[in-house]
Amino acid sequence: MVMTVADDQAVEFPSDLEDLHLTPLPEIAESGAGADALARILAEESSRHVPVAAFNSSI
Amino acid sequence: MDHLVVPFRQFVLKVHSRCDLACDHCYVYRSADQGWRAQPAVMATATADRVGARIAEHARAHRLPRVHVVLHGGEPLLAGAARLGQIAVALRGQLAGVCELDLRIHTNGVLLDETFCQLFDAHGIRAGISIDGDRAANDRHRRYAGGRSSYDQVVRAIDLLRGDRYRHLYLGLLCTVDLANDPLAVYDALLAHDPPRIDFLTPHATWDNPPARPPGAPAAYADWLIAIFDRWNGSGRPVDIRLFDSVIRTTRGQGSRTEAIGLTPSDLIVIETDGGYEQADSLKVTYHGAPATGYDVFGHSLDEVGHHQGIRARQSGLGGLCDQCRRCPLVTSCGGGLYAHRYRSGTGFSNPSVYCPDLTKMIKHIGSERRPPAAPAGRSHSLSATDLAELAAGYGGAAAIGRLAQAQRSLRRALLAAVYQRASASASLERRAHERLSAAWDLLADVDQRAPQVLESVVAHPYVRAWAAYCLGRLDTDGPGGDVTEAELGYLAAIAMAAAIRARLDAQAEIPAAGGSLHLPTLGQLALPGTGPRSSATVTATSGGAVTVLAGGEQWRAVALESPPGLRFERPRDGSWRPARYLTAPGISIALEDADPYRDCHQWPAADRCSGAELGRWQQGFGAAWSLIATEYPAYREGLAAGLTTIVPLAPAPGDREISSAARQAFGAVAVARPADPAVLALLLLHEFQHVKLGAILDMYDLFDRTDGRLFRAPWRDDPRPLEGLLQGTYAHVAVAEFWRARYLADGPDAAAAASHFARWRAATAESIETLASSGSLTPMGQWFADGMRATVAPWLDVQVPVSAVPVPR
Repeated sequence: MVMTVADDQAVEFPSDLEDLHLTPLPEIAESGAGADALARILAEESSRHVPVAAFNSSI
Repeated sequence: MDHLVVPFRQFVLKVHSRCDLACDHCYVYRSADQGWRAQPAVMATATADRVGARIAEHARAHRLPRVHVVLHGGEPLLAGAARLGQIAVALRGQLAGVCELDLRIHTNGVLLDETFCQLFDAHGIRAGISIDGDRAANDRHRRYAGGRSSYDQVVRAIDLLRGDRYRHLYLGLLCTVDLANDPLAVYDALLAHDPPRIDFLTPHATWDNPPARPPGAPAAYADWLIAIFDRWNGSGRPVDIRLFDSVIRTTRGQGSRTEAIGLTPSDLIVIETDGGYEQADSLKVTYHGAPATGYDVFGHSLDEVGHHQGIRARQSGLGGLCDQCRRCPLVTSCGGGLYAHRYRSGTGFSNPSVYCPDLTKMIKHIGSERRPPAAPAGRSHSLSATDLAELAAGYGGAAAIGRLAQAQRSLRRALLAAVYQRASASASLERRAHERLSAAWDLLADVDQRAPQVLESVVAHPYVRAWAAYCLGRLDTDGPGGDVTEAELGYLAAIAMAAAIRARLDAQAEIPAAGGSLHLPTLGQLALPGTGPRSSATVTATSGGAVTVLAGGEQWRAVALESPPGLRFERPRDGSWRPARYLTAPGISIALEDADPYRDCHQWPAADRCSGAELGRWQQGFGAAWSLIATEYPAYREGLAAGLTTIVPLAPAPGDREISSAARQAFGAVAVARPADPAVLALLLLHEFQHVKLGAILDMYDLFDRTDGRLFRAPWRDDPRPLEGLLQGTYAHVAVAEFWRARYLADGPDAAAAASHFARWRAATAESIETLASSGSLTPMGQWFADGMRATVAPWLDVQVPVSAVPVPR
């Protein structure tokens, strides 16, 4: 999701990650809620140029 | 920095430059570019051989496992069966032993007969056919020069391909949209040919020659396509439709399957019958000469043509779009549409697509249709502008970190549900595994209902996500089932049981004892001697806090402890119960995780269970490191206290090199090989927690064009880095530079060394911020994020350091 950040500090910036805190687990499984964000993140993992844990210190 | 070439993987070979039809919507012959007139009619075999050699050279250089070659025209069948066979032999000969060749042909079909099909079968050439729908739709444009219909010949060709004998060669159908045709009649007619795939092509157009639309229908092409999408979607998507699939994929952040949609860099090049490289056929609609590159297979490699400005323009993703597109919320799906469709005399390609209203309407429609119907409406995670400002500056207070953690918890709930759902559908798991999975899920759902806060605490354990991602990766790998094992899926029951014990609920679960031990996340691990690889433990918990474990004929009895959560066994055996252990300091308590089987997801191997003495050394080191952070780095302290939950000890690196790591899948955890110096531990924690924060931000927002495959110079490494690696490194080094700045300004005994480190890292970080900012691939939010980092680092460049500390330019 791409959005423009305004100067208004009270502004909230919603992501495409649904809040599933109050959604019962069976309902999540049945509805596929959160699947969009999940698919994006998992796809990103699988196509990632940088290995998952390649961010190591250089001191 | 000049970026590396995006390798070509798709090659369109013009094997014949003339056509036997005279379609009045053809972009090859009816467009501004008339380059076909100067081309030889047929590609010579020697030219095809040279093409094959160039592709082989390219595939070797870029280690491509597979390339796709489409024999095209004009009408490629006009080349004749003999020449097509020679071309196929030339290509396969050059690429033998180099890479796999996916050889295709795209034809109007009118000449396709048994002879051609036998040739295709012999040379492994799969065929796609152009047809615009039913007879009336097709004959609206696809006619012979005299006006005669081509419909019967095309259908005969399709029937030949879809028959049993040649079905394996049938790729699908390509349909050019005409608003005069009834979309559903077109769709039904195409579907009746039983194609494996359908692609819809909007007529090529530019701002100079916009597509005709009826008055009052500004998005008529979207309306036409949406009618088909709704029929297709509502009937269970009976055929692969590339355009719709690409919209769905791009709205999920995946790559597009067509140049018409998305930001995926183009990896396609056209080779004309004379061996000349051209950019894309669609450019013929812009102006005469537009597709030309001036390069050819005889004098130039594909890498050379890859540096051509026109080719690079189609590979530059977000950075290649006009401002209007870059600011559009749909840009990651639309990608500005087909490059040629952006053209306008005067401004060139720096415009939205002439199909912008149609793309917008279609993407919004498909995006809304595919959303799960039961998804909660209007609730999504967010960060406030204040949160974002704090995080972009490199810091982030408790509120900001708390919001990142909340988003991670939703993600984990979705992951748990996805693992259950996909494993339940697995055909390769045994019945017992399905029964245990179902029981574990029921218990999890029960705990979720009765003690949601407790379950949330267990699910927040960093390696729950690592486990879930591991399982989903396996379940997705080899079709249904994958090769995830019953023992691995057993972690779900372990999560549920750990939460039930902590919540003091009556519960029982059968948990696989992988590796001869029972692991209960956030509680600890019980060694079960004498159990085999397929053994399991029956764990029973009561509302009174009593816990029993039955495995291998032995029973263990324990009592649940509340704070910190744990178990106290009545009959402790030497080393059998390995409780979760914690490191504490004023204002913080974190787990020292040295038992979880999924903790070993960092680049460096995890250490084994720490001895009591080693635990003591960790406690001493952490206490001192935290004291340093609390006093010298207060801007980081609050965020760390709110978000750092776990340290995983890493095995010491050879030569006692200081190593540490963060994993995207393990929010809240940092892995470290314990350094002797607490100050180094403080630095490693600061550094790695930057990655933890940024990973969670990237789970919520796009800060950059994820399809940008370019590599950039990172001042801290010898090898060039992808954009995400550069962003992660830059963000981490904001904290590293700040660490050394404070050490230098403190004027302690290590001030001289600190000055040198500070000078090095402020310069490196400032440089990489500018590399990011000028990459052209940051989203508006990403640009804003880079501005935030710059605002933190820029004043540091004015801090005076001894001349000897200033790094020598590389």
